[in-house]
Amino acid sequence: MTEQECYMPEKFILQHPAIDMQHEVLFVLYNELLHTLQSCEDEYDLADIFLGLNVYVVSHFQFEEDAMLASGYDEREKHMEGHSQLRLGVGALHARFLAASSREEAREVAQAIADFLLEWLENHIAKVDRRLTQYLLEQSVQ
Amino acid sequence: MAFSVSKEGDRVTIRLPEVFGFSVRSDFKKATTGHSTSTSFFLDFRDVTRMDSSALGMLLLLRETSGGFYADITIANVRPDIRKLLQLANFHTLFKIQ
Repeated sequence: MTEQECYMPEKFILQHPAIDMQHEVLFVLYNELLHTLQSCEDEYDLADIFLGLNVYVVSHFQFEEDAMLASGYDEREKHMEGHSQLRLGVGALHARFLAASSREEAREVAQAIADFLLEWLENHIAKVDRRLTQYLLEQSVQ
Repeated sequence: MAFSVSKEGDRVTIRLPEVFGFSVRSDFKKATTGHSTSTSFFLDFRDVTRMDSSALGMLLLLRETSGGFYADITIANVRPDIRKLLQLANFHTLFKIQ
């Protein structure tokens, strides 16, 4: 990956190639959400971005949960609770988005999702995922 | 080789350029939206030697705009280093990669 348009702040790089790449993709989708909220040209439909986020969050969590299981990570249960918080939080906001009665309300909920996602990513990557990746790298799990 | 698009029936073939990234976002979106849900996409990566993370976002959004779980998207002719990037991103679980 050379023509690097990097969306993830450098402080979140954990030196685990797969997990870093997947976090970067989550930041790309977050950026798409902002791009659309700012009504830039060529925006995607908000509903499609949410679906993409949901699908990729599930895929990424499964990757981490498989790695934790395979490596015998003893904080697995606690880590998975963090994953559940995001799934539930985004799921609830997504339901509000689908139920929105106006475009303005839908955009307000979309902004709430963007804020929630950014806060979660910052906390989870900086603390919880950093502990996990240090463990995986010590165990040589890529 | 520049970005090129051809359509035959319900199949859209997109030959991606050497650098697949933010610079082709607009072309990629135009080429992949406005089709019926029965459209299949064949993404020819033979010329792609560099790819950035925005390209990965474009692929995910193509998946959602063309049917999500039911989307028919094939990523083909991928060089080993690009395949490695797709695998790191866990995309082999979401796309057919030939």
